[in-house]
Amino acid sequence: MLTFEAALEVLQVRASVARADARRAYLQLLRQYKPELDPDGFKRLRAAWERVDAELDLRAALRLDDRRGVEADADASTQPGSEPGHGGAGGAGGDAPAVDDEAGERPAEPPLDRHTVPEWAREVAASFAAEHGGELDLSRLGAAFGASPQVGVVYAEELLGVRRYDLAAAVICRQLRMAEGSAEIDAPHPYRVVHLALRLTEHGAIAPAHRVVSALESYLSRTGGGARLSDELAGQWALTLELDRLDDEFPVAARAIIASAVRACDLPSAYGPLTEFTAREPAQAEAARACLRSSRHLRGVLSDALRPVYAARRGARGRRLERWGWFALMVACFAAVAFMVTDAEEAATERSLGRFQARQHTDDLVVVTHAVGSADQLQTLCLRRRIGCVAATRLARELDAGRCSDQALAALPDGRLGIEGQLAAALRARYGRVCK
Amino acid sequence: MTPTPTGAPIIGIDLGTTFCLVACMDQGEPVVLSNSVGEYLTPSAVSLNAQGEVVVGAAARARATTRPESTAQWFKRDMGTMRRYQLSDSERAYTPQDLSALVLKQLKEDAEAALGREVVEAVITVPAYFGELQRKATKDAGAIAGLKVERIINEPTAAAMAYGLHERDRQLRAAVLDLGGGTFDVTVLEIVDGVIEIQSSAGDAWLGGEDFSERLAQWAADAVDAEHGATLGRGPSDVSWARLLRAAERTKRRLTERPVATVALPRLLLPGGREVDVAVELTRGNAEELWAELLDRARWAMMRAMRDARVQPSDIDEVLLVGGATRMPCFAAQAAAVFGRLPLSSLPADEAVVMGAAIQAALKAGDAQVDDLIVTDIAPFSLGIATSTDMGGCRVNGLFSPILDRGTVIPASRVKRFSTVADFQRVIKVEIFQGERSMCDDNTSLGQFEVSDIPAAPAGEQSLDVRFSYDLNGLIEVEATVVGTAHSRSLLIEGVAGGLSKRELAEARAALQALKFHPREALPNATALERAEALFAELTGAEREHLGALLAAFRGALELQDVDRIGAQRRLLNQTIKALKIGL
Repeated sequence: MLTFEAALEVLQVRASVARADARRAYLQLLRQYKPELDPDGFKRLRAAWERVDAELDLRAALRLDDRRGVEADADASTQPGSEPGHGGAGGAGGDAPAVDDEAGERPAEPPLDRHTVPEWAREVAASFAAEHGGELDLSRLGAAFGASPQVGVVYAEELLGVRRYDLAAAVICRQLRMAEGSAEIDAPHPYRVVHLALRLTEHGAIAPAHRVVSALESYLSRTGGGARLSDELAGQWALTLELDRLDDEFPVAARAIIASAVRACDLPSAYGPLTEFTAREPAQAEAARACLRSSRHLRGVLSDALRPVYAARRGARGRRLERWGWFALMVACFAAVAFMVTDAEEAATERSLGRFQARQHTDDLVVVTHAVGSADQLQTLCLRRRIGCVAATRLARELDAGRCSDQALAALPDGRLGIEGQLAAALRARYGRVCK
Repeated sequence: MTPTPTGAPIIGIDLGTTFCLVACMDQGEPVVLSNSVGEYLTPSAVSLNAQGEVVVGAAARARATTRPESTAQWFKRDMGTMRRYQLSDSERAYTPQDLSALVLKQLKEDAEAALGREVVEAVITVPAYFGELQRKATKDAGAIAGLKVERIINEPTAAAMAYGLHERDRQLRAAVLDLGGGTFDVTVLEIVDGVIEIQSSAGDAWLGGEDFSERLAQWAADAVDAEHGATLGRGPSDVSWARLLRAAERTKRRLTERPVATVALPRLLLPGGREVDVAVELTRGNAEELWAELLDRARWAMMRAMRDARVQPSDIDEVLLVGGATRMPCFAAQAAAVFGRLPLSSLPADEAVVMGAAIQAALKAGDAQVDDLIVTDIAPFSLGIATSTDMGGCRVNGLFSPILDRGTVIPASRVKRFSTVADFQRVIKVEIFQGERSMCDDNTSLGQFEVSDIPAAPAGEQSLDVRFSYDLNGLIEVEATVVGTAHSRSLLIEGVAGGLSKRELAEARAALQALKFHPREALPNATALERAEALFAELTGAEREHLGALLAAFRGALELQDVDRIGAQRRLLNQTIKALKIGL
């Protein structure tokens, strides 16, 4: 990376040079290093000029003391560029940079940072929330919107807080459309827009979230800013797009969980809530799984994120294995992987098995065997869990079908069929009576 | 003409969607060369005549309405794609490169006839939004035609150079709007201290004069369908649709001069065999409503160019209109609304781009005529690699990390540092993409290579410096160096996936030379005949009889093979065609 001093040397100017003079020096030297005839010389010259230009730009920006509430991590392309007039024939050369003066009435308000909202905005939001109806007269805030896109974002976030999702989405979309349509108006920072979209999804406002995502997509593609998102934001944006592309049947609750995890940039944190969701709503979990099949990328990302947590938890539970026996193992297996890799029936099966293991109710085992429909399927399931109740379940079916034999019952406590411990005893207790 | 070490001049070619031109520098001024029928504009059309000979140019364009199934137009829009064209029943399918090569061959011969010497090299213009695939396809087309094409320049840059050639003493910022037959390009440039600096480029690769005509044709076809209860076929081989398109184009041009115009077509053939006379009236207001979406898209492109250059409309001193379609008043009005000033048309609208190409040809040759002209151009698209990022413990892959941004002044070299993602990772795959979207899946892949033998270390501790170099000829070089060692690998992007290999190029060239061409000397006659035929179908009454008589006389002269008589009859025929077309 070229240093400022080295660049000054190439341009043959001093450090206190004004931007116009530095540029003139660059243009003069261009005659010696023409791009067509001396590409390497030109590259060096151009690199030097760009370095000096950037340095002078930064100095000018700091002097300007700009307070437009731009995010701390905004990249240079969104900073107001200061362009002192270059040697101009006629024209508007020499005026102060145009960026701060927008057309339209602009209330004289104190500088805005991301945590404060003007009083009038708060009042409007509160009164509107109280009314619960009627269209908000956006023209009241027209001047402020034009003046600073960040006001629009803060306002939208306020609206989200009072659950006016449609309105929040409308405000952001309007902001993005205005920025698309005019070179003078800056857009809200993509970071805040992506987070707003994710929060809308979290609150279950899917259609408004969809509108915001579409508006941002359109803005990014029109302005070519898509490739300029920072790495972390690009990752979040990619996942937001994937979430948005999921079918409408994807359960709102699951969507909210994933959105929340993406927003926090911490996908493994979705593990717990997803597990609970699967336990509570198996049918919806099944629908979710079906939808995810069409989203290869999101599915891949989620499994990568959740598998290590499952492994970690299984490891933790493994230590307690001796005390709790393989019952505990079954429970752990259930909770962790049910969402990702099995279908509804298997999930139900596993849940029943788990409950059985936890409370040793043979009723559950019967439910399981009937639900599964084939002993082989259950066998496969149990093999995966590395549990030796294969024989037990097959036997349970036989028993329920009334096909028990004294011989089989007698064999129960032996372990010859591969059944161990309390499971065997429970089976016997339940079916021993029935059969007889 | 422009002297080069080999003595042969480098010509500049504007390979447009609807029309082509060829020019050369002469005594410090770009001169547009005329073709075999004495015109400057050669339509980008290729047709096969009844004898199976290839016809290129005005004659082919005339055949677009009489024999649309044997004619191909607007193939520039398909450059770089797998689209194949079938002309008549020939078994051979033509690629867009083949068709462009046929046009380029014609232009090469025209230039050689005008200059009186052999031409081996050319500079060809492309829309600024053409990606790497399409640029390579254009170079391939040149190679198939027997032309060396080392330099491809952007059309707006060419227009800017033609404009700036005479403005070098001024200091100003200008926006050049080029609305051609098929594409729209906007360039913001600055002229300061005698240097022309291109600052940004934007555009719409699917917006051109033809689209405006097509909207009118669709509306007229709807009106015809409604009035006669028919469903007109609107495909490329439908004669009625081809005629409607041509009529719509005429109407579009007339609306430039008059507030009301009629789409008039005598004897339009409807499906089912009925013939109807079509006369649908259209006001300028109606047309502008139909064109509202197109004008909106033009506006987006203008805004984007200003945003990329980081200027406000008030910073632009002059707005220049280039390209035939900018003659439309609604377009000029749109430009005026966006920039807040009346646009100028100080350059001949159709010729500005080819003039710029000729200037660039001279610059490339190091010609003394353009010794004091300095132009800096910019990269037309962003280049980068595929990366992944960490999202709280898991990886999101397939993100596009730009290393050389769109708008960087070229020739340029940019470097960025990346690190390993896994512990003890020994190999990093560098996948190169071109485009502006944030996910690599949405961008164009240009190639890939691997850097191996990376020292074993925990994730993130070993880094790779990836350097992109982009030169004026559009050659991309990617170099990856493992930080801390001297180990590096590089790749020169010459053959893009989808482009033609050297062997394929040689085959295509041989195939082209094996085609039968309509003799060049006979082209003026063929052109006159085809134009007369096409016009005959559009006329009625006394005018039609008059044209018919002249056509018969011309044909008679051809039979007799009396050269003087042929020349005289042809001139008469051409004059009549011109006069009748004005009234049409």
